Amino acid sequence: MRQRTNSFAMVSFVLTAFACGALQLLAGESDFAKVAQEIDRRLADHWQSKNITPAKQADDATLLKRLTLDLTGRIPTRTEWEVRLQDGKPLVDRWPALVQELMTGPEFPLHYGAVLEEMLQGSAAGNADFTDYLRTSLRSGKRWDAIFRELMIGPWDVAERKPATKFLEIRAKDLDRLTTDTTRVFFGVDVSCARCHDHPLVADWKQDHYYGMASFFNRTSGGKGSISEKTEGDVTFKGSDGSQQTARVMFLSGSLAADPPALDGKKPKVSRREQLVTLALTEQRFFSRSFVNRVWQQVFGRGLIDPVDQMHSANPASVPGLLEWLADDFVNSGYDIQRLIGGLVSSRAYRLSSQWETLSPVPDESDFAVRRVSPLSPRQYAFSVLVATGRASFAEPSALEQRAEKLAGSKGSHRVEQYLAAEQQAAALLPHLDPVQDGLTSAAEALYLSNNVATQKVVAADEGTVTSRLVVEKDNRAIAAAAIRAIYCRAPRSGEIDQLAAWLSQSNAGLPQTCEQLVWALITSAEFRFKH
Amino acid sequence: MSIPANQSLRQAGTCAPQEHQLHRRLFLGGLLTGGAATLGLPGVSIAGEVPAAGALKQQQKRVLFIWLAGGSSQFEMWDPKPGRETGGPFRAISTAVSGYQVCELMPKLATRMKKLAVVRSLNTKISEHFQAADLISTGWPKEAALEHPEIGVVLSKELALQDSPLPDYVSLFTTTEGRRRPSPGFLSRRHAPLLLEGSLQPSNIELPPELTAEEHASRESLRSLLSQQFGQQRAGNDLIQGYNEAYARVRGLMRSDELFNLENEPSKQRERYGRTPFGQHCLLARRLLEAGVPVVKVARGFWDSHHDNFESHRELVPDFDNVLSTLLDDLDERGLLQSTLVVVLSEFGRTPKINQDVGRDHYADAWSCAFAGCGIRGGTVHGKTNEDGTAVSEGEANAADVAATIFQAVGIDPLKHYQVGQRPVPLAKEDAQPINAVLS
Repeated sequence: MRQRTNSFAMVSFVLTAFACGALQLLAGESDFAKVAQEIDRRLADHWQSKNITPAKQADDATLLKRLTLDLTGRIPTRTEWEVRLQDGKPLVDRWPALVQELMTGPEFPLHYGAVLEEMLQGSAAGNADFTDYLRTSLRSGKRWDAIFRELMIGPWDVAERKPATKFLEIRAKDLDRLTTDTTRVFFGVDVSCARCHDHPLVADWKQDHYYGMASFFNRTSGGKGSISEKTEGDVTFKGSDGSQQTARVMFLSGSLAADPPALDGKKPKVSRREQLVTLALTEQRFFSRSFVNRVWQQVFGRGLIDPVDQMHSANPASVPGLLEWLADDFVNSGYDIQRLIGGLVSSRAYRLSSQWETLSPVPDESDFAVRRVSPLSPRQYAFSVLVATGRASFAEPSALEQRAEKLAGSKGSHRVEQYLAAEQQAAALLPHLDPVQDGLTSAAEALYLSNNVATQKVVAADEGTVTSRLVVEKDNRAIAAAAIRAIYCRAPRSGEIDQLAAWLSQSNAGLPQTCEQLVWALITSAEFRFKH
Repeated sequence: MSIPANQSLRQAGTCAPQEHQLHRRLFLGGLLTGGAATLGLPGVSIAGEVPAAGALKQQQKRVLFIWLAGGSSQFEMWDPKPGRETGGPFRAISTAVSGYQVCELMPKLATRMKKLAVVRSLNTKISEHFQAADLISTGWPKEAALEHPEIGVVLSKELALQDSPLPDYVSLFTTTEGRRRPSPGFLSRRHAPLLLEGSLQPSNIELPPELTAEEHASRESLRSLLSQQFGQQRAGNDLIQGYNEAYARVRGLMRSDELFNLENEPSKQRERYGRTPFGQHCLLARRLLEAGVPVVKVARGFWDSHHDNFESHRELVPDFDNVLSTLLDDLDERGLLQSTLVVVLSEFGRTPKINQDVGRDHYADAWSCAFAGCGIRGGTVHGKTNEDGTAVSEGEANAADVAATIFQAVGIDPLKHYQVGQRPVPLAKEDAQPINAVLS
């Protein structure tokens, strides 16, 4: 459960940072197009080499919903999809502009900051200060290398960077966890198997790597808001031959760090963590590939290397050369997170349908030739339920509110307030929803959504909700059509209207209650629960 | 995997007659026709496997864990040391197994020792609650990058019956100490237990207020139909089927509310178990096992006796003695003991040294556990500790050995492995040795 400490101070800090922040250079349409073209070229080659004809492009409504979910963490509002889809032109013609609009909008850093927090903290995610630090970092266009540096070595001197200690702080008391998590999260490598012996299955990883990585952290200690680092102390371990050894301070690549020689009998101050950052950013490869692969996984549902923490020579990327190219481009762009994400969602591969309608066998998911459905994250699902049922408002500001924002020099603050309000509402639902992890659903989630009073309240026909708007439609067919539009964010199909209208007409309950149950069935159906 | 064309019919078969008609009238009107192929895509991890109906499952093996949270004292239960300085004030009494004595606080179990197997030679080394509990409950040392599932979770995956309307694993507890959330680790949450916290009923199994059973079933059949239609010809339909399965279990779990209602049990039976929370939980456990729930855990707290060890055991052990005896008799009378493995465990035992507060502290170097039922050779006493109970002198066993013994007892190869990413992970640690002496 999310603990929002000093919520007022934090909210106003975020609002200020988001609304009044200086203009930053953000990657633009042409940057995205360059990345996307390369993805498309390499995937086309890959498909050709495997004799795969990819799925056709998904329809516009599906694409708008997919992109909005990925870039803002929720489904589009009714107004948004009507405005964006109903002007007669195919969406693909306006795709670059739409990607640009969503990526530079106020919601992207709010959403993606939370995504990054979950990526970094795993099951320990949920610290509002840390999330807000990541959000403001993204908003200001801070690069991934700078965020890494701030998480590892600071400076943590000012209030807005203070929460960056959180990554180290929650792990500082456990050297094994600190070593393993850092190596997995930032470098895509799980060396923990090499703790007791050289990795039994992966020739790349030896005990030297595990204890080498641990050596960057064994001088680190702290917790509860402070992190300190000693200048002495080495890691020793029992080698596979039984002998006691002192670990070399070694990065995954084999590059070594060493303490500088003593001057006048005095040990100069040196930070092992700083040495790690320097080595990781000099070597680039592990640091860049891991992040690119993790972002690819978030966007496409599976990493180019899978699992994302198993990057080694025996587990190559499934599309030759693509990950390497993207990683190099990421480095050359100065670790520009927006360029990477914008590039991925601008590609043709991103727009493929999840329907496979030919008789040929379905390509493997590692070929990315058909979109595989994936469950929404708990956040995406909770936000989307709130939008679909009309419980959370993402309405455009009124003319008066827009004037007020303009005068205050704070364009977008209205949306930030709406987002944070929705986040607070979503918090009650989150603990009951299944994490994406293995993509499987527990009976507990189904029981909660089926029977808990809170779920009934979400679908209730209160004023201003989607259910209350359905009740006043002229007949069952109109109710069915309106429900599909509001919840699935697309135009209804005729068979579907017949089906829902028939279901509505067999109900013995009052109309409001029947509409509530219809809304329930739609928000718990697979079309809504999965990204597709 | 593919959805059989008659899926909705089959589901309708489990509904009330009027729902059945509803299904037929509304949903079979050409909506599911066309015979569209459904997609089964590769790439689902081992964790996603739907339990298959193997021979093992047909035998309906069940496992009951009795978890004495906090660490019970082996001296005041299974391994008394009468007359020694470490032995404490209680006497030892003879049992049905000649030459084997237990603490006088367990007279009922003493007469039932032919049903039990005791291991007196555990050395599990770790004596900190959480770490020790993790070790014993998983059979694996902690690893930063790989979270091992609790043995109960593995069993719930291995023993689950396909299409069962009942939960695969129910975990009951009364006190804070017992409140460990069994970790599914790298396995799916699908196998995680249904937790009963401070209530004998699972949460959210009651019909929501203001909704009739018909409405509830009707909206679910709509949800299910829409989801199945959506899944057709969809890459990732295997996930959607799993999603629908979770909802399909809802009605089953709701129907099982009678099962969870102890008022349905004759009052004589309730008295027999005793009106203690532990007694009633064990009675509920028996009901669940009998109904076909494959894995149940009952946790009983307050064993962490750093102060007044003898007073607290004088209170706790007789209740345990009565409840476990009743439970074994009851299972036996119902013909269930043969197919039900009962395991009595805690995170560690207590120190031989009696401290200044007349308590015993945590001790993992030499302690005891007990088994009964399925796959167990009753009347066996395995291993020994030395005269003062300070060390194992014979037949030492560790946490991995206990795990291997549990798997072996219900007929699962402890070396069977799951593929976790690149790594094959056996159910029990590679070097584990099942304690063959206690196995039948």
